[in-house]
Amino acid sequence: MSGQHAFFIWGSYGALALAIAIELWSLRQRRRKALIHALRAKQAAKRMGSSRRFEEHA
Amino acid sequence: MPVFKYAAPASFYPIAGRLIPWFAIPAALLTLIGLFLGFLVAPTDFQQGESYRIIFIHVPAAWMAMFAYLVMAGWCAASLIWKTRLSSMMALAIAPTGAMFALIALWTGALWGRPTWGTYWVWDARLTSTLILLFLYLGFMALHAAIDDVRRADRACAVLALIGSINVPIIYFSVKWWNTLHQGASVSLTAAPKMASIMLSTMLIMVFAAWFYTIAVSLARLRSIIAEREAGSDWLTSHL
Repeated sequence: MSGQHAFFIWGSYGALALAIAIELWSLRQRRRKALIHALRAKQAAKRMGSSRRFEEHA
Repeated sequence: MPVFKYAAPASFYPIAGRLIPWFAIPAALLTLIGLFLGFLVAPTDFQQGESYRIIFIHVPAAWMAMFAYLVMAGWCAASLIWKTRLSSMMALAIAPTGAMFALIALWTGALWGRPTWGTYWVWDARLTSTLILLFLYLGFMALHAAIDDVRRADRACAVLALIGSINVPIIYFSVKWWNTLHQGASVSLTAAPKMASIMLSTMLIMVFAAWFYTIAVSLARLRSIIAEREAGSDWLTSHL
């Protein structure tokens, strides 16, 4: 694609590609954070369960 | 009712995960086909030259921005009527992609407007109402982020989305109701198409690509939202 309109065409398609790349990257980051948060909650629940069992045993 | 079984985040979380590839792969394939047809097969327009090729992303982005808003408002209505948590999460998952498409529609419209109208922007009814649509999306997300209590945030955003949905028919009919610089509808169900069949079919392929992409990305975001809100619940830990 060449000529006087190349800037407008590539500016449009390039913006779409950039927007999709940013969206997919932010989705990946959010997924990672959500899973880490959920895993920590799982570990905390496990710890609470084991300390409760210890208290009951004591 | 059995359908309400799937309204529970615990039931929908694994289903969403299984559905994502069924929408993501066709989205990628349709985009590749659309780009091939749009750049290598569709001929140069006799009036606009090469710049008309922006139509292959401008129209799908504008349609998707409007349609995604209506879908988001629909989920908001469902959340207010049936008080289903998943409906609010669905609406929240759609909003960023809708905003992205609204921004792309405005950006590509500006870049298309310069060579065809001689200006990047005019305070025209179609352009202004689309800008309002972008602000509605941003307002929806900002309002949700501003309220700490998730249930209250969901309700406030649902009301905002429902009030804002009046803007969608205004965008659509703006070219009929007012004298605008923007051209009329490119495609109509009642009238013959005003463009060559290869251009129309390429544009429709890109529309379907935008649809599939939006569904895939929204489902992926929905899974993250569910994981954030349901962290610590027994059912989620079994999926980790």
